[in-house]
Amino acid sequence: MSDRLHCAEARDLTPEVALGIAPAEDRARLLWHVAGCAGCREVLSELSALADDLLTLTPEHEPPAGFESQVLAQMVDRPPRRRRWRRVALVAAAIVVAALVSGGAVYREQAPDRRLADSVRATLATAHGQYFASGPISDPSGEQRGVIFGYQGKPAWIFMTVADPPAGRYTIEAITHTGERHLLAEDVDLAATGSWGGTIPVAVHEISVVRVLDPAGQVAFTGQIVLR
Amino acid sequence: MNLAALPVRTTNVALSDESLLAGLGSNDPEAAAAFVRRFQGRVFGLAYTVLGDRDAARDVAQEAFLRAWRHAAVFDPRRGSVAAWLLTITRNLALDAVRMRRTVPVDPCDLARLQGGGIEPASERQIMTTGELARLRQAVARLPEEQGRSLLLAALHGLTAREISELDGLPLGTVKTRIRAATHKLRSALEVHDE
Repeated sequence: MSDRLHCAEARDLTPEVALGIAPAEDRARLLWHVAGCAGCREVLSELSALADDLLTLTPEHEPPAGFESQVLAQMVDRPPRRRRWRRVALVAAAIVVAALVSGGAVYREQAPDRRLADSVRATLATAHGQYFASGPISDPSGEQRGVIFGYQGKPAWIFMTVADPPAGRYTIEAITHTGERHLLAEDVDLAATGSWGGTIPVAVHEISVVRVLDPAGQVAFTGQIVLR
Repeated sequence: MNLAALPVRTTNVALSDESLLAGLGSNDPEAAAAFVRRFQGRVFGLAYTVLGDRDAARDVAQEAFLRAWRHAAVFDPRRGSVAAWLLTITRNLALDAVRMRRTVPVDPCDLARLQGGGIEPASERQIMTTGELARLRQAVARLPEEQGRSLLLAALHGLTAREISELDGLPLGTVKTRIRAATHKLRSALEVHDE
């Protein structure tokens, strides 16, 4: 993964992200950029709306006979589940994560990839979040290998992407500014997923660094969330 | 309560899309029926456009309405119209269905008709005004054919730039350039009239 985008590069990526066809890494890079660039955020928002509006141009077709009654009958058969507040918060938090991971089919109808910028705002509002921040993931040589995102809400969580990590089971831990170590996850197959996310037991701003340890216990990657 | 068996008051025809969606989310049977009736042509039409199969399109369209029903509470009118929200749900479900079938049912004739504006427009009850929708349709029709094709393959069929390049036998950079050019032309076309 290359360094942080400049606006010109971001604008080149924006159409494909807005259309929901960009690779996950490009989406992550653009989100990182627009988090701190109002101009590019506005362009992404406009092109996202444009992409949605294109769908309204498709021709109408008469559905098969009985379609309406079949839909309504299923609403009776499958009453909606009542969500508890915490579930709503987790779903809202997952919106951004889902937007970053190319699949995300479960939540795509709520916040498609193309709504990245809006998703951040919606997530913060829905889950009573305070801020959403990001930063680089680097290997020991200092080369950027991914992006880490931190969401300060209830619950607070982090999400990271790592490009092409060596195969193996990794341990992820957070080190606070006071030197406390918090184990976040063990036995993580980063090579298979390219990403990891989960709730954190401390506030995002209390974290000094997130460390990814290889199977030998050595630091393979470090992530630092930059608070603006 | 048997939603399907209840009659629908004609007064629902005059309710806004947002009001009907709110009624759908609160299990109002009349609003639910009116909502389905109002949007079923567009939802099924988009699913059919993407899938090219009536049975598969029916399944996707039904699921789209059920998703809308379950998630009506999270709809945010500040972020777009009910129609765009519902059609985005439909598109994503249709693309998931396409991926499950591992096929790419792209009908060039459908794309050409859409680009050329030679189709009857979908109903225009969404947040875009009639004028805005007409401008968007005209702007799509004015795109160079190759740009419009790349854009619509991405927007409607969810094909990545690489997939389009392989489908059309083009360099990847050419497809990316076409998509960028097309989106910026459409954006400019809509902006000019906003001033």
